[in-house]
This record gives sequence, C-alpha cells and structure tokens, in this order.
Amino acid sequence: MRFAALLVSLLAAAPAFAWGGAPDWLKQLATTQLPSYPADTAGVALLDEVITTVTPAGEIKTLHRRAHKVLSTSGRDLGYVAVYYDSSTKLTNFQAWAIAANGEEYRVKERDAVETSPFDGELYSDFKAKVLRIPSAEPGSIVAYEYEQIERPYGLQDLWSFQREVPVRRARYTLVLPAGWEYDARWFNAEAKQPAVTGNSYTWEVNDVAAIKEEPGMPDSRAVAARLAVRFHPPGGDARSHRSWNDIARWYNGLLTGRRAATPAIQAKARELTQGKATTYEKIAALGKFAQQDVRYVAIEIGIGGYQPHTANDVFTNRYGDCKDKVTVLASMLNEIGVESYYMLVHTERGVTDKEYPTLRSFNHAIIAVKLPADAPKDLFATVNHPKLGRLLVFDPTNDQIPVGLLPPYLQENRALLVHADGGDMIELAAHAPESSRLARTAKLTLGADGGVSGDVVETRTGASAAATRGALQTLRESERKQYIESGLAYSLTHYQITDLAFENLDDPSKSLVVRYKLAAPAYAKRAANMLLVRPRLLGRKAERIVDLKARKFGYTTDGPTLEVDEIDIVMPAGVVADELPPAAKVSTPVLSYTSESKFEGQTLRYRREYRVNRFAVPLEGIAELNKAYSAILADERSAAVFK
Amino acid sequence: MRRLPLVFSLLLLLPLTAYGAWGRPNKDFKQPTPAELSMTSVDFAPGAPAVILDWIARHDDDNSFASEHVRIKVLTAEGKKYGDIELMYVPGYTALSDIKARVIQPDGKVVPFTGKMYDKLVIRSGGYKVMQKTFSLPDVQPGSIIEYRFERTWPITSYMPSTWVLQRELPIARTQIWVKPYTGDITSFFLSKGLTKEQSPKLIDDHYELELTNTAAFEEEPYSPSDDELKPRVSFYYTVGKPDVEKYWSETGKDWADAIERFIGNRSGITKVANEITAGAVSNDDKLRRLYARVQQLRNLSFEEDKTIQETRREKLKDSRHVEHVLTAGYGYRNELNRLFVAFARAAGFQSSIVCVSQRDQMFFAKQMLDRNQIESEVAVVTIDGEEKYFDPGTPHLPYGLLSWENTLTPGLKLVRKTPGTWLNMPDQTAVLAQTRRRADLALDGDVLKGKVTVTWVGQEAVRRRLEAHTHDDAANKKTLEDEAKAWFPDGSTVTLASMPNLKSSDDTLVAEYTVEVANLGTNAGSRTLVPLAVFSSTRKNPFSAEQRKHPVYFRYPHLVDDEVVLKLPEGLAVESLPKSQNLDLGGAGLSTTWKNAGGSVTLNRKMFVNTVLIAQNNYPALRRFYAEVGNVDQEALVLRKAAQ
Repeated sequence: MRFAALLVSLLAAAPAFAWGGAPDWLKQLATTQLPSYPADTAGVALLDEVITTVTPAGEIKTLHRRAHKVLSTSGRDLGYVAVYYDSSTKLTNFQAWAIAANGEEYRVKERDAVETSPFDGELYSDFKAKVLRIPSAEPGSIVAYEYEQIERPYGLQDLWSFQREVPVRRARYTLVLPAGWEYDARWFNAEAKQPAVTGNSYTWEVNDVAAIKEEPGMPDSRAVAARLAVRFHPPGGDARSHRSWNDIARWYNGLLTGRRAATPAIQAKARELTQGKATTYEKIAALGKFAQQDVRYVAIEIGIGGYQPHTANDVFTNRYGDCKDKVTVLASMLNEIGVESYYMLVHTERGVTDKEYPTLRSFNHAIIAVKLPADAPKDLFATVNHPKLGRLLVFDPTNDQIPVGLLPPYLQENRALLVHADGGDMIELAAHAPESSRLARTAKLTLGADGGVSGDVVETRTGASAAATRGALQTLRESERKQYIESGLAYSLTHYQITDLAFENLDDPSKSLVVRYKLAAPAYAKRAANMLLVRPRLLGRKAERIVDLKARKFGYTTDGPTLEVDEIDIVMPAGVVADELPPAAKVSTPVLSYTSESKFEGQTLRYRREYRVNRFAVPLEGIAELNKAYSAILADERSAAVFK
Repeated sequence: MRRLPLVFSLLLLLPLTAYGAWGRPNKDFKQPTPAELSMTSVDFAPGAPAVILDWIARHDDDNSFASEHVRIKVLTAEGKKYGDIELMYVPGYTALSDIKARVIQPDGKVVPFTGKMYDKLVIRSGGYKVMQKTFSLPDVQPGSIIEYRFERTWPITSYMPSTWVLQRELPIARTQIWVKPYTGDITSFFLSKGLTKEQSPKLIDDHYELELTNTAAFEEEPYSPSDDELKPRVSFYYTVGKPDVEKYWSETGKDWADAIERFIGNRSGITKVANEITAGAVSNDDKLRRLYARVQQLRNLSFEEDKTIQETRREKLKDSRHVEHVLTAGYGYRNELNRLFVAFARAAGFQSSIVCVSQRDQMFFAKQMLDRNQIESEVAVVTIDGEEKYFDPGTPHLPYGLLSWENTLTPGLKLVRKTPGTWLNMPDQTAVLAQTRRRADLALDGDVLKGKVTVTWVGQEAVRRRLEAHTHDDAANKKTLEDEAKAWFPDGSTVTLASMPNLKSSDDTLVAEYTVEVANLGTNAGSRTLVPLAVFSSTRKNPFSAEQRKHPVYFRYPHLVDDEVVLKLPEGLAVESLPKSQNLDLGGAGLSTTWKNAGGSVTLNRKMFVNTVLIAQNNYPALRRFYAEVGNVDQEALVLRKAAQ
C-alpha cells in the first residue's frame, strides 16, 4: 500500500516539460460521433490500434495506439497507463495526450513516467513497468497514448485483445510481414473476419465491441474476451511459429537439457527419503512431499529464466526455487528411484488455455506428471491415462497444502501440456469427484432450560476443503486462530463462546484436518408465545451466492467439488414436545445435490444433511437452476422446529 | 498543505533502523546459544511463525552512519519466508555496504550466504529512484536461525527526526537501539509513545540506549485506533536550545497566530462584502448562517481530485496572501476558507478566532511529541449571543454548526494575536448528531418482502456520504448508495434507488428512497411463517465475535440507528405471536425495540445507539455480550399462521 500511494503521488508530481499539443490523428478522433452508452459507462475506446511489423530476422516491432473518451468519473483510471517490458523487450516512443472537455491539450512523454518493478510474487525479475498519468482524465476528456515495443520473442505469434472493460468503438490490427512470409489467424469469442490486404500488409478491423463487465464468479476474462491470434510463418517454416503443441513442447524440452542431472547430494537425499518405504508409490509421495514442503518458493526470473528452470543442483542446494524449479528437483530425485516424470505446463486460470490454439501464452505455471507403477493405488484422484506413457499422477509441488494424489482446485477442469521426449500432448485435467474434498461436521449439544445450547463440535476436513482452512490457519498466530473460528461462527450464531479449541494435523497436508471445540450459545432457542423455536441447522453455510441474472453475460464458477455432511444432535429439555418440524429438503441439479432431514427421536432433535458439488463450470443457462437450488438450501438453513 | 521535498519522502520509505552491534560497532555475527538452537516456540508469542531473537540497531548522526544486525529464529514452515531479505536504499542519498548474512541450522551448522544479491528497482521518477538489495538465504527450514547485518551511510547532514516503531509483525525477544546524535550547537532529545519510563531511552555519555525484551507481535483488530497510534515508538529530534514542551507549543501558537492573523487582516473589501451578505438578517444566527453559506459557495481546492503539475500550471491558480485574495479569486484551501469565515464574522461584529485542531483519524494528539504536523486543521470559533460556537465551512457539505468528527474530542489551540494561544478540548458530539433513520413499508408477496425503504442520514452520516460522493458523478453515486443498501439485506434481494438524493448541499439531512425486494428472509415452519422484521440487520454479524481483545475499541463518532419496519399482513395469515419489546442498556450503548400489531400491519421500531468513542479493553466482554444480545433480539421473529376460515 505504501508503494501504491507513493506511486500515485509521484505520478501526480511527475515533471512535465513537454508542452506539445495532441497529434492530428487524435484531433480527428475527437470528432467521432458516439452512440449513447449507459450512464455508468466509464469510458469508450475511440480507437484501439496495433500495428505489428515482423522483420526477416524474426524481430517484432509493435506500435500500440489507444484513445479513450472518458464518460464518467469512474473512467478517471483511464488516465493511468502502464506499459510492461523486460530485458528482451525494448520500449520506445511512449507518450500520451489529452484533449480536455474545454479543448485544452496536454502531452506527456516517457521521461515523465514512473518506473517500477511489478510486485507479482517474484523476489527478483527483470520485468518492469513504466506508468504515465495522463492529465485531465475527467468526464468529457479524450485521453490517448502510444508506444512501440521491439522484441525477439520465443514464438512467432501475436495476440490482439480488442475486447476490454470499456466498450470499443473501433479496433484495428495491422500485420506487416516480410516478403514471402505467411500467416494464419484464429478468432476467439468473436466472429471471424477477413483482413484488408495491401501487399504484405493485412488489416483487420472491428467496430462497436461491447465491454466486459466484471461479474461475480465469472470465468477469467482472458477465457471469454474476444481476441485474434496470429502466427507468422517464414518461407520453409520455422518451429517458432508453434503450429502444434508438439512444437512448443519440443522447444521447452530443449530448455530442460541437463537441468535434472542429479548430484551425489541429491542422490543421497533421494535414498534417505525413500528408505524404508514399502512401495514405489510411497517413495513417490515422500519425494513429492520434500519438493512441496522443504523447497521454499522463491522466484528469481531473468530473461529466459521465466521459462527455463534452474539446475536441480542449485535448487537442491538453496532449498528454494519457483514452480519449474520444484518440478526439476523432484524429477531429478524421482529419476534416482527409477521413476519417470514429465513437466506439465498449465495456466492457473481455468479456461485460458484453448486446446485448439498452441501458444506459449497459454501457460503461467509448471507442474509434474509422474509415471505410476502398476501397484499404485487405484483410487487416486489426480491421475490421467496417457495412451503411450500409461497412468500418470499429476502433482503441483508449488501448492504446499494439496498432498500427493490430489490436484488443487485451480488445476481441475483445466488443461495442461505434457512435455516428453517425443514432443507433447494437451491433456484434460478433469474435476475430482466430490469425495476428494470432504467436510464432516458433528455437533452433540444439549438445550438448557434457559434456551442456550452447549456441547461438542468436531469438524473433519480432507482435500481442498482441508487445504483452504489449513492455509488460512497456518498464517495466523495462536490467538488469531481462535478468532478465525469465532469469526466463522458469527455467520450462524449471534451469541456464543468456544472453549477447548484444538487442531489435529494442522501441519500435515497428507492427513485430515480436525478442528474440535466446545460451543456454548446462550439464548439459542427463541420463545414465541407458548412456543419454543429451534433452528436445527445450528452451524455452517452451504449456498455460495444467489447470482444476479439481470444483465449477466457469462457463466458461473463454483468453489468446486465437495462432499459435506452435517450431523447435529440437540438434546431437548425434558417435557418439551415437538409441534412442527421443518420438512425434509431435497435438491438435485447437474451441479449439486442437497438433502436434509430433521427428526425428533427420544428427546433429541436430529438434523442430518448432505451437500455434494460435482463441478466448477456452470453455463449461463444453468445459473437460474443453481439459484433455485441455493435458495432452497438457504430456506432449509433458516428453517425452525416448533416445540411446545 | 505542507509538503516534504520529494527526496525526503523517498527517505521515509527506509526502515529507520541502524544495524550493527550493541553499544559499539561490531562486525561479528553472534554465536547462537543452545537454547536458541533448540527453540521451537516462545512463551510470549505462542504459535508465532518466527521470532526476532535480536534486533540491534545503531544510528550515528555524527558520522552519518547506521548499521543493523538481525537474528530471526524460524519456528514453522510459515516462517521460512523471512529468509527473503529486501534492504531498501536511495542511490545518491544512502548507500548500503558490508551486507553479510548466514543461516544456522538447528544442529549448529553454519551456512554463510555466498549467493547473488540483486539490485531491484522499487521506483524511479525523474532524477530520483529507490532501490532494494534483494537476496534469498539458502536452506531455511523450521529451526533455522537467519542472521544478517549491514551498514548504511549517507553523505549529507540532515536534522531530520528519526523514528523507530518498536512493534512489528513478528515478536521480538530483544530490541536494542543505540543512537548517537549530532554534537555541536544543536540540541537533541527523544520522545516516546507506548513505553514506560523504565523502557524509555537512556542518555549514556554521548548517546542514547534503549533496550526492550519480549515485545509481542502487532495484531490488527476491527474497530481499533490506527496502527500508528497503537504501536509503541520512539522519536529522536533536534532543536535549537533546550527542549521545552510548553515553550515549544507557546512559540508555535505565537507563530501560527502571527501568520494567520496576517492572512485574515482587517480589510475593507471583506467588510463591504460581509455587510452585503448580512444585510436584512433578522438575527445574529441568521447573519452567521449567511456568511457560512457564502464561504461554502467558494471553490474548495482541498477536496478536489488530484491534478497533475501540467494541469495545475495551466490553470494558473494563485496562492492567496490574504483572505481578500481568497474572496476575489473565488477559491481557497480548507484552512484559507475558514480564515475567510473568521474575517467575515469579525467584519459582521462577532468575536471570532481560528482554532488549530489535531485530527484524530490517524493518531491522537500527544503534546509531548514536539511535532507541529500533528495539528493540520483550522476551524473557526465565533462568540454568538454570549456563547462560543465552532464552525468549519472549509469542509464541503458540513452543516452549519457541525464539526467533522476528526476534529471533535481532540485538543485544539485557540489562537490569539501575540499570545501563545489557549489550549482547549474540542467538543464531544452526541449520537443524535450522527443518525441513520430507516423506514421500510413492506408487504409479503409469496416468499419475498416487497416495498419501499426511505433512509434519512443526519449530521455526520450525511456529511460522510456527501464527501464520499463529492468528486463522483450521479452514476457512481447511485451505485454506491445501492451497494450500501444491498448489504443490509440477504443475498438474492434487489435494491433500486428510486430517486437521487441531494448530495450537493450542506443540509443536515440526506434522504434516499429505494424500492426493495427482500428475499431469503422468512421461514416456513409447517403451517407457520416466521418473519424476523429487523430486516436492516438481517445480514449483520457481531463485529466483536472474538472473545479476546488486545486493543481498545474505537468508534469514530457516537451514532444512532433508528429503524421502523412496517409489514402489511397478507390475506389469510394472522399474527400468532409477536416478539417481546426489548430494552438493552449498556450505558454508552443501548438497544430498544417495540412491536405493535394494529390496523392490519405489524410495526417494529428499533433504536440502537453508541454514545461513546473509546472503550477500554476491560469493558470489552460487556460490549461483546451487548452486541451478541443485540443479535439475538434482531433474530426474533414475528410468527404468522394461516387465519381461521
């Protein structure tokens, strides 16, 4: 926050010696007649233009030019422009202009920019940003900027993203190729268009592109935004065009040469960790746990280091590295016990990887696939069957909460490029079964004559459910852990006290996380006339949210597969008689199912429910049914038993 | 507004810690004790991911030299992240040297750091930049001791105060700070906050020493004073002559009075305009109201969006030298506008002065901290019909006679020409000066409550919303108001602002009307329908769910919420039971509810107030219990049953 505040103040104070006016192209744009937009529209892109020029040597020069009209005060942010670059990308001609509503013109140049290193989790990276603040970004003003980048990319590709958070009046992409070069183009989430051709220059233009508005639970915007991807092909072809996933996998495999070589120290550690393990799978699990728990996540990425891992020796010696480094040291150790393994490249945002369009831009993360021995357990969730390599265990050693055998939620219903000696294959990673992530909650309570309940609560979590809770608890101090549990209860209870709070297996992701506590909730039962009202549910919330369908454009993503079972027993005071019990609830949709039942047996009010979620992605047309299901669950959670 | 030169702003980013050995320069690392090697937790911070065993800082202004030596014991896997070290510096102003680091494993094995250090750009603007020396220590595991030290030098002499914040995100077993001030004509002294007399720095020969043991990690809690206020700190200052608290503020009062009175002056142009404004006024109050309104009509530069230097230059706004400039220019900063109001009031025959007030939104004023920057606000005090009243027309939308909450319950220095001024306590405000009144007229339509909601915000509540809306347009403000109302009701409810309230005025009230559909609230229990009518509290969690409390509870201002919910009974349903009316009284806070069933409607009236600002930790259990009981009362439901045919 301190840096963010400083950045803003420096941008406000940035000296501005350039007093030139707006260029003619911008003055011309300023006369553009606009349709009417909703009052809350931040602004409109009058022009979003990219001109990409490829040299015969494969160097790519790209001119970016964009002009916005600010339509409302929420569009003031359009006056901030951040351009990113690294050691292999040269940034030139970065400048910006404004034509204020009163006609005043402004210009700012690259030397007015604030330069910073983006804070994105890396300890060190050569990635940097220059940020310009354009004056007078107020409603009615036109703000514009342009810059050029010259790079020698690892792939002969370009991606034109023309759908943004504001509507676009006109967007244009021009590709200039050297003589004899060809291209192929693919459109995503938009109708394909043909370019206008002039010699070796190809121009695509689209008009009136709707804005992408943030919707709760929507897929990542990169998965739904309209884009054009273009590949360039020199005469005779070039593997850098990445025509297939094989091309990318082969290129990546080339970066791995020698990286996994084991040193005597690595060999010794692999032997030490696997000593006494009865099966190969147990050995795999032990080595996986080492890479996950004992190699600290530290990212140092310079140049090709964004893709190429450090050597296994470096990672092992330092006991730190990034995702691909963790895979490297694990692969090296697995090799020592005779187990083959493979890098897998993935994107942590579901839906960003399009299996039909090979591109390096599909990936931001590396995980590992391990060839399983024949005697490996059959009930592992995180496995795929490869036609040639056989049964593979997929594992993410960077995630320190999800044990070997499971995939973290962000990798389920996702895709990964499996890199092997013969090339690569795009692999579908299915959602796990609900049983992979369990929450079992039991409460044995007694209702006192004063209306208060008290007793024991036990919550047992596995898989992703355990990982989420464990991850939150591990970052907290002991006193804060109690507050965390107390804060969660506040969604269900108003007045309560917990004592004897205890955690089991908090530091061991391979085991169930158990939370035990004694609960006392005074005045839980409510008196109304001669009735005693008791909510059988007591604890826990299942429905995620009621999705607002008014103007909704995209599908919804659930929190993922889970199986949750609540068993709550409340012993009622002697002499109390049930007058009415809530009806049983039963909800079943392709996404989730829910059942609940309240019974009064002996003198005990028994509440049982089961909540099962099967998948992540819910299409837009399925949300209404999901809302109905969530509403039914909410109604059940509110329902009360009436006693007299 | 006062602004530090940019380079000093950048210097403020640096941790003001000087590192080295205690009492004398020492370039050696420290041999860990067997107890440190085997340590798995610390008694004073159970569950901590790591503990700082030693934080040894040395700061020598005489030699423009500082050093720091830090030893951290990693206790859990979470604590491994402290193996990443980032040391900031400002090239050209500070230099880092002699950076050494190592890791000591639980078995005593020492692993010196021999890896690469990276120079990371933090930020560069114009000719200035801030950099970090960044490196990661190898093989850091639970049980490891991380140890590093470095030296910092600076080529320039500056008499900037140095501040050490003594509580961090990790617990600290031992803190040692050694400060040697400049010698010569200038005098140095220190001031501390949150330390006992025994803990405060001691002057030993030519330097100060401070030593603390077992400092807990800082924990954030909701409804707390700011972190800056809560964390103990010590500051070292320079001054000319002997430091004297009374003299310091006395001279400050005189300086301010001189400058401000020069700005106010006694100008005929002001008198002329004041007479025009007050012509025909029927009372002294009427006169002041007119003058107040006139000042609020002027452009207020303190509450505008930040502008770039180009825009500011282009606009050619001139700094005002006196109040007549402000009036003729038609614009001014907050304090300038309040000075103009004082000038107007005097011209209209009132006795009036400026009161310099500390704002209590960041830190509470501490007189012993000799820092004028603690006091940034000016408000006007006017004697009207024998009574002193406070005014702040320099804050937009602030109604006549109301002070913004930051300037209440805090010390103020009333300025009188050629005198040190008079210290006074700015007035408290009661809950009625910050009201939220909500009325809902609802009818049950199936499972949904539909109807109209009218919200009236009064006093501070109205000002707060108007200030938040001040630089935004109607579309943004509509969304803000709708989002606030949506948060009162259960998920799935819809809220539409029926008409845009007047956000531009300085009226005491702000009225918004909504149409609402409240879903997922009622409960069917067999033949009965249960409706908790406290609809505005249906999503409210107990803000004090935690049983333990470390900091005092801090409400920004006393406030009152006054709700009325009217439910028109549907055909075929009759009231089987109404909840009892309730009255909870905690003294400084209270809740009352009344239920009425008449004329085919059920009405719930609910009032909740907090009439205090700061609640000590020892009263926290009672406060927590009160909020829990409020939650229980709000859950009580009207029971409806099918009417007999």
